[in-house]
Amino acid sequence: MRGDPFKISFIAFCAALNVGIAFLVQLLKLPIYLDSVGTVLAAVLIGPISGAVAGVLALLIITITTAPTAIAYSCTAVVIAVCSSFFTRFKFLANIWASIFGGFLLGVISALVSAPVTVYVFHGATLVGADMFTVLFKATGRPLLESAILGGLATDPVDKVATSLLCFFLIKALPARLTSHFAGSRILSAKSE
Amino acid sequence: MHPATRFFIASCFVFAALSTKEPINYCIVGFGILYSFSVKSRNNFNPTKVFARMLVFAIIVLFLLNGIHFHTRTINVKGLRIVGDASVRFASVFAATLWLVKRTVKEEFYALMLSLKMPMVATLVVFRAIWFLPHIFKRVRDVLLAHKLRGIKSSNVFRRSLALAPALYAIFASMLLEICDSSVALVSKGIWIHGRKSSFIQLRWSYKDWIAVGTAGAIVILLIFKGCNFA
Repeated sequence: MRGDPFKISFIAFCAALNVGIAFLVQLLKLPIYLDSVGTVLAAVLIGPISGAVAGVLALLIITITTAPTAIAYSCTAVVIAVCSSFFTRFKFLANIWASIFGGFLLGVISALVSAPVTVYVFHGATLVGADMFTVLFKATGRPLLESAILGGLATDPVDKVATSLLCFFLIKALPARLTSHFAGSRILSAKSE
Repeated sequence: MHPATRFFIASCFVFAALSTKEPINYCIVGFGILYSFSVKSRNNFNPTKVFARMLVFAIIVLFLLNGIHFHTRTINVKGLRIVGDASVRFASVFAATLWLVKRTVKEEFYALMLSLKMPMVATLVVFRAIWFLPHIFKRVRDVLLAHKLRGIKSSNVFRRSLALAPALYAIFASMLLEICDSSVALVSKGIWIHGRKSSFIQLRWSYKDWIAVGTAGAIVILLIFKGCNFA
């Protein structure tokens, strides 16, 4: 991982940004989490490994500050980073519709990846608002795994679409002098032309 | 006490709580919760209240998911056992993490990572992220205050959502200088220079660590031979 200290610093910033945006969302009292903006940014601008490092590091910080069970979802952060990086081949974050569609897919994938951890490790509780959807689906008589998947599908796609749109507008608004540091920005600008 | 000893004790505590049958596991977790919630923090921040709130929330959700037959509106007695098991799982992890967070200072963690010969890049990324956090929180508060003073409306969820994008851009743009400063700091800390790095705190392994590790290890071995849940 020998490289530009700016990139290393940016990865650390992205990890802190995940936690910072979660704090901002909490202050604005919004019904979403947006705790993977930094992961997606790092994955798209630098690469999947950087995105995964930012995501797992953010979860580590959340584990020691807010929810000690958050680190169990490391695999979800890694999958989000890998998928975001892979989706850039299909104009993800290069235009608005691709960002919305990519965000929706990310949401579905993260819901599917998180659900087994939620059910088999924590018996259905994730310590976020999506738990109420899981309870709602469980109350209709569905099994726990199905309820957890449906609960995740009810919240994660909305969250990840909002995350992708924020990343799209953020990358658009960043000065070229800054984005020139990252290989991903060149791919994005080539795709959007 | 050496931070590695604390990690070992915390892991042994979680193992003991998860491997024993009720009511012993409830006693272990109860003791752990009481001790970790009451122990004095050596850090600037103390997440006890947040952890307590999260734990209560987890138990409520577990009860709603497993402890009630919604269609007959009765208590699910079999499900209550699952609620108990899962609550022990949550509570043991919460107690162990809270104790570790309260008793381990940042410099000790840094020294531990160096002594474990973790890659310098990984160590510095972790500590740069922790360094960024208070700066981002301060910037978030400043930007939101500026938005309020400029009269951006926050009466409903839709308006607040619209306020999010400009707020995020302002936070991101204002942090760029910090990222540049941080990258200069990484170079000055010798990120690519090989060799032994120094730390503010020198960790030493004392006889207390041997006693603590020996006792915790003996308890775990005893549990395994006694026929714990995992065996």
